[in-house]
Amino acid sequence: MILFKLAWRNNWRHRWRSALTIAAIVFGLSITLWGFCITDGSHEQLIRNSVESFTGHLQLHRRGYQDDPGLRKYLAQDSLVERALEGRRPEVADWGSRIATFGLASVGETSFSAFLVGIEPEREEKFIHWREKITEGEYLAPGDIEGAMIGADLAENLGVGLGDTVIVVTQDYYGSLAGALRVVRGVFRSYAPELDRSGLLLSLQSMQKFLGMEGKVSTVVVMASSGEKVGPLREKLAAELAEREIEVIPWQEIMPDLVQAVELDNIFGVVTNAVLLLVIGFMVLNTFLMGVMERIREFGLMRSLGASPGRVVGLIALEALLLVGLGFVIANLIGLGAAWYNSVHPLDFSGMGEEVYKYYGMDPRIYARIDWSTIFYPNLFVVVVIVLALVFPAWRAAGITPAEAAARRQ
Amino acid sequence: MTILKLKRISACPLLLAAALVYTPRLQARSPADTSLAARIAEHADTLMRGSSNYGTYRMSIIRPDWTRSMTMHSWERGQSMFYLEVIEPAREAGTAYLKREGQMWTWLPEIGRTVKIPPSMMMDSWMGSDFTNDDLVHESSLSKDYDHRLLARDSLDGEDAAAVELVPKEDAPVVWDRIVFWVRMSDFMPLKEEFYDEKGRLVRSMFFKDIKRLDGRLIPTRWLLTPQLKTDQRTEFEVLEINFDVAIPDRTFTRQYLERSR
Repeated sequence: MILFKLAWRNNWRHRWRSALTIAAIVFGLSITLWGFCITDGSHEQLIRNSVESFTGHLQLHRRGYQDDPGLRKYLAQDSLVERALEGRRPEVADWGSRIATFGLASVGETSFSAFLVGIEPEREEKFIHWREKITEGEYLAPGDIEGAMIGADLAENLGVGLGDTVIVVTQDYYGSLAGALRVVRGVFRSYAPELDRSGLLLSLQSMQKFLGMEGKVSTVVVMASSGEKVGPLREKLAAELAEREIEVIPWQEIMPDLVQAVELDNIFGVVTNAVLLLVIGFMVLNTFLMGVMERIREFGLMRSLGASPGRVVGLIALEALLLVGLGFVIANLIGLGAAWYNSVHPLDFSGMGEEVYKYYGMDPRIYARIDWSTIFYPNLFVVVVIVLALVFPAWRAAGITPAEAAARRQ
Repeated sequence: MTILKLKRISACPLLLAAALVYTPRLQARSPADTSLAARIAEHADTLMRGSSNYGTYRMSIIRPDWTRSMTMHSWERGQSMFYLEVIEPAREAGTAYLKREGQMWTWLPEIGRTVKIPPSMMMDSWMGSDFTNDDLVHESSLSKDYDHRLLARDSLDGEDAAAVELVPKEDAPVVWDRIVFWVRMSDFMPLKEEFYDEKGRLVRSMFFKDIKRLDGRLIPTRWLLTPQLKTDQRTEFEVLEINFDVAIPDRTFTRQYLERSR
């Protein structure tokens, strides 16, 4: 008990030094915590955006389609997949079938490469944000054979608007050249370049008729009830459907560049903050070391009165604990408090490069996300740094003898 | 992915066969060989002699999971012009092809437009078959573009047959590295043709069957094209009827005719 009192008073004997040390820890750790929560939140938004704009959480294909797509690798529209997915509710939230291929879209003498996607409009609008991306006209009605929704940039390039006819030419299921006329029902802007510049959405039936693929689809897009459920759901579905030659691909494999972008961003964040915390670690080392070096006579006196080296080290350690502990508490309060605030009230960048955000398909308002791993690791890191900073001073203090102390003037 | 350069077979089904049969100019081994190869060549040349023809054909595309058959008419003049129209099945009916001046156009009835087949599409499959657009478009000058020699005498399908090897001349605009052509000795009817790439690999084989007399000529009426790498698929051509040396109006081989309202 007396050790506590001693430690506490020793710290406040150097008010400024202690305060600054605490301030340094608070600054470094709270910024790290808040920063990680913000980054995490923006990543989650980015992923959710991409997943809910086009890819879904999982995609089911004929085995081999993901690596080498082709119309001949199809899934039959029998009840097999339906039953498998129904059986996995509620982890499976929704799904829709698609056929996708590339072709040529022309109007008059102008032609552009087109990405043709046949969707089930009434099913997909439950989990893909097609409807919200419409800038003109209307969403596709199910069973609409002649209608199409067109990407805003493609519409501009072809010079078409609502009600205009586009000629689409591609290779059908049999490898023969096939053409079709489609009328623009709606124009959309998704901020995904591929979709905006070449996307042409048809109803699934329209696509099947065009390509000669009645009763066949290329992909079943599945949305899970939450991001965490995706992994386990994928494993279960893959096991169940493997013998039917159906592959279950998670969004990470469909968008590996997104996964890597997030990882890269995380790495940058970790490195930057680690450097910051290390510098603060040095500052703490300085505080501890000074605290030892200037008290050599004091420690020597303690030793001569019978205190063991362990006692001396214990005192120093306790001082460090009280000092740093206070810093930890304040840092977490401030950092997590700010993060919590931002999880409800987002950082709003609209008005400041809003178009840039939209270009990347991101909301300019960023919500923070608090997760135990984002809290735990920075704290752990600081603890390790502090402990390391304590090593030398403690060792030095342990080596103080009464004789050495007596020899000093100070 | 190896991009196989395909020997350009000339237009129209019958000319496809014609293109595969050419006048050999022999690098003889012996006088007997020379005369034999020369006779084979001469016969092959006369087999397809005729300035024009009109025919009806059935093409069957056989794949592991489906088979499709198409019936078509074609009008042909020499090697440089042809017009082809698909009659059956309903999905393809009305699709037409025009070749002239080394270029090809296709009329797609469902969009009411003509699509010119660009060079980038020349190696794509023609109508989903094992033939390519290029096979139909290329005008071969076989007697001028190849060196020939008699390779072997053997029995093929129970018939006494001779094999002639064809190697393109140096500047010949021909894509196969080597072709081996088998005819039957009794009447020099073609039996088999094998196409080799520059690595010496057999890439595809054409088999000639059902030799019949049509419009006064003895010709193979069924041709099977089999890719070597995919033995579970092939394309079969059947000559249902053919008329040689017919008069075809010039306008048949025009874009206006291709795009006419039907």
